Amino acid sequence: MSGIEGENSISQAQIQVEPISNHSNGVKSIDQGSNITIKNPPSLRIVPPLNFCPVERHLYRSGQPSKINFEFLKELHLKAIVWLASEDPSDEFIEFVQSENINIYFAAINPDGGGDNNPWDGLNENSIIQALNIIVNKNNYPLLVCDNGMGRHRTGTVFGCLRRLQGWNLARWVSL
Amino acid sequence: MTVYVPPLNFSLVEDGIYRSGHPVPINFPFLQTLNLKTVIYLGDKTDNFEYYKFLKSMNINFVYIHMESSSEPFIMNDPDAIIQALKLIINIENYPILIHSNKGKHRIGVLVGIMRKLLQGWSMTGIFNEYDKFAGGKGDSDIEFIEVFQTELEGSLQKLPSFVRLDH
Repeated sequence: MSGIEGENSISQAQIQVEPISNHSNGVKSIDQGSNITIKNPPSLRIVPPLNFCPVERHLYRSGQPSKINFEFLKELHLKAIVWLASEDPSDEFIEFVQSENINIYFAAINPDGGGDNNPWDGLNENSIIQALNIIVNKNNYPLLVCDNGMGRHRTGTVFGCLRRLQGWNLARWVSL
Repeated sequence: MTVYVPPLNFSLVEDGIYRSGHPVPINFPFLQTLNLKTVIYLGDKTDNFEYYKFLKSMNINFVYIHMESSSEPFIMNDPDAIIQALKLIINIENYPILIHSNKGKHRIGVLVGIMRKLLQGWSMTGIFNEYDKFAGGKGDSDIEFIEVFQTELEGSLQKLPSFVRLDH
């Protein structure tokens, strides 16, 4: 049990509007599996990239991953990554992506943009559409969308547009 | 087109597990799209009858785990409530699950933080980063609580969700 104070707490009451055994079709599930006790965290700690967040099933967003995040990313079994920046990712990131057989899409690099591929520019409409086209193709999943910064503005813009397509109200998806 | 309004601070935590603040009727059409099997409420309100009616009509198991919002130095986080919620989370038969509190910030942040630590082995910095994104700057004692929390969680290997990492 926990070593933290609060052991004499009586606030443990569980009130169930629906009995919890309901979901096994009324049959009390008989425990046939081997029991385990989870006591300690797994010994290899994993470090999520900055501003990592799951968005939908097998769809993730984050800021720029660095070497320390690679073990974490392996757990996601990614099939593809959308890179939302005009600059190239670091060499070690490209090496990681190749060694894990992950497809990487450079959505912000716009061949029709002429001389407009300025890394300080925000995303243009074309690059957002490119990213969304990759996101709505389930063959690319599990998929990570990230940029070369904190994963806020460029990545946030793409997912803002995705939430709009999903019919979410404005106030909610601008809040996160 | 229907406009879907997710509950306050709604987010995906892992495949089949969602977090949020307390849902209100405007969120019901959105909640229906999640096909929830279980809702775990870490909180102290017991009079949201419209919500209970909705959950019942959707055949969702509603588990109310009483937990007061921590308010140092008088009200501390309740480890027993967290353990009770974790036991439901390590059983895939309960999925999809929504875990919520009132605002979806502190109590749920503590539960998710402990899940990240104990079940997934996230680094503390990653856990604090996520906690803070929802809690927005408040809750130093919650972060301490996540860090020192220890328990022994009994579960069934066959029913563990796939995001749980175990040492081999």
